[in-house]
Amino acid sequence: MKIFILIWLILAPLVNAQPKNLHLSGFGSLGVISSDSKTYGYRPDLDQSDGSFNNTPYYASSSILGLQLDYALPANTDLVFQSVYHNQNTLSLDSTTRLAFVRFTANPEWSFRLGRTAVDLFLLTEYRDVGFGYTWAHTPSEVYGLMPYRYLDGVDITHSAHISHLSLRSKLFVGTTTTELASYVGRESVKLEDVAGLSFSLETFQWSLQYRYTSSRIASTSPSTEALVSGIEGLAASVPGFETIWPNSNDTVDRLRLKGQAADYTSLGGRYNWQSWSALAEVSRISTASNFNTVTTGYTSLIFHGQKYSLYGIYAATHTHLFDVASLGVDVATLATIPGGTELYAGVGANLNFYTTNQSTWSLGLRWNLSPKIALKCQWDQTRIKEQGGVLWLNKDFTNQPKETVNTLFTNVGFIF
Amino acid sequence: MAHLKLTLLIITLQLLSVTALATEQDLVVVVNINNPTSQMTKSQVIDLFMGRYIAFPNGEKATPIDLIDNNHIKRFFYQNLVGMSLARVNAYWSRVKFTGRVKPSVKVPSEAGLIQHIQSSPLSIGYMERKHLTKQLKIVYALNE
Repeated sequence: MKIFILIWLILAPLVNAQPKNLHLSGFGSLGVISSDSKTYGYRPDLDQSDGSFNNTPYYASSSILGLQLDYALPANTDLVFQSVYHNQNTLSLDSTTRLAFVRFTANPEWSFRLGRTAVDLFLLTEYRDVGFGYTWAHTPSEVYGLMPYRYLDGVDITHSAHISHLSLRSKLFVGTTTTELASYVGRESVKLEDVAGLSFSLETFQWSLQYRYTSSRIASTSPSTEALVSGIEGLAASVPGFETIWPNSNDTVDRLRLKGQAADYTSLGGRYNWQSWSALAEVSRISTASNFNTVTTGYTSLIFHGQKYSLYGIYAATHTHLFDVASLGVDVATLATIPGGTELYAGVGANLNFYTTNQSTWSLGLRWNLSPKIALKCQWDQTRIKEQGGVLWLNKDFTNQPKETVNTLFTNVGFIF
Repeated sequence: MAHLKLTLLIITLQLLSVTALATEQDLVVVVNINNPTSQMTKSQVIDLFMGRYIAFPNGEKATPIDLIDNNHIKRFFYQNLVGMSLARVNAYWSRVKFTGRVKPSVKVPSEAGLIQHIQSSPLSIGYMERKHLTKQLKIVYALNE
């Protein structure tokens, strides 16, 4: 909290005293989350290693501060830099830089950006941290909780076209990105390389239809997975007849290993505005050939806009097929006679199902615009987590994921300047 | 007597507010007199001021000039143009700006500053009350027509 106030005190006078070609602006939110489960702790996404358990107020993951500098250069070129402080595990220039790119706008139809841009995987991914920008107190965890990626280091090309009152916007992007995944057993870095995607939107001011597809390749290794791989390979080398105990153990190793696996992201979403009402919906899919099972997610939301306030409801759900560990065909009884065999089998089972998320959430909320630049938001979520489906939540024992209904209350103030 | 005074005061205030409303609603979108654009549709004006397609109908790049938030003209302009409060307009712009999609628009504190800016820049476009129109400016869209 102190760092927020300090940064604000330094920058507030600068916002109103900027040179003509330099524009300083920012966004932020201060909030608190309270969740009533003793087993599952609420966290906004998988890069957070702290969460709210047992009605204990939790502040860190609901508070954020972002600063942006836009600098206009001659010849239709401009620079954009954005830094975000958001409960990062490590504070560095790299971890706080969200945008750092140079843009060349050839004409109103074509623009090119080179550098660090916001990753554009799903409908709201680009501005999920700009809480003032959307009505809800938070983006649906079912869709955005598995997606800690925030930036893309690379290049993109955007084409905008107008046909009558229709806008068509197409974007191609390539690059790399890195994020962290956190659990109670530690944090692991995941790097995606060869990221290549297409974003396409067709819209009027009243409605919008958007499609996105991104392919990528996982370029990092997971220490916890490598430990399991070493265990299987060690037993295969030292135990005579291991292939009869664990048939096709090489296939299991390939399934476990992340590095080199493809990961694809697809999203279809839209919005419709009618008088004082807005409706939003999105369906998305994450598919890999590895231990990230194919995840299908979606949400729909109805919003009523008053002059000062908005009332809304959201329904979100996520579904993943559990991997049947028995399908590996392991002779569990014989494996148990080998020291460490039972633990290895349990670890492999937990690892292959680590990213299975099966839950649904009903939400009700209120946004109250205190001023044109400040909004107070309150939201109540009721989440039904299925057995072995609670990976989005922090769990002190990830091998024990019981079925549970969890209530979570969000209160935050979002602002821009 | 006191009751009559109160009634008169309420009627006077209501008349004043109606007059103010009528004046404020007589807003026009203007460009420099040397700009070749002669007319724009509501959809084109929305695209331009909401950062969706920042160009004139002939494809020339445009520079929208906006007023700062506490200016009542701005509030009426967006309410009439897109049917949104300033908070919703700002929420929309925060999505566009903080994702780095569109450059932030130029903001001036008053109509006088806006007029001065457009008079000196052929590719600028802004909105103002019709009564403040000068010979160096040209109306391309009127909100109440």
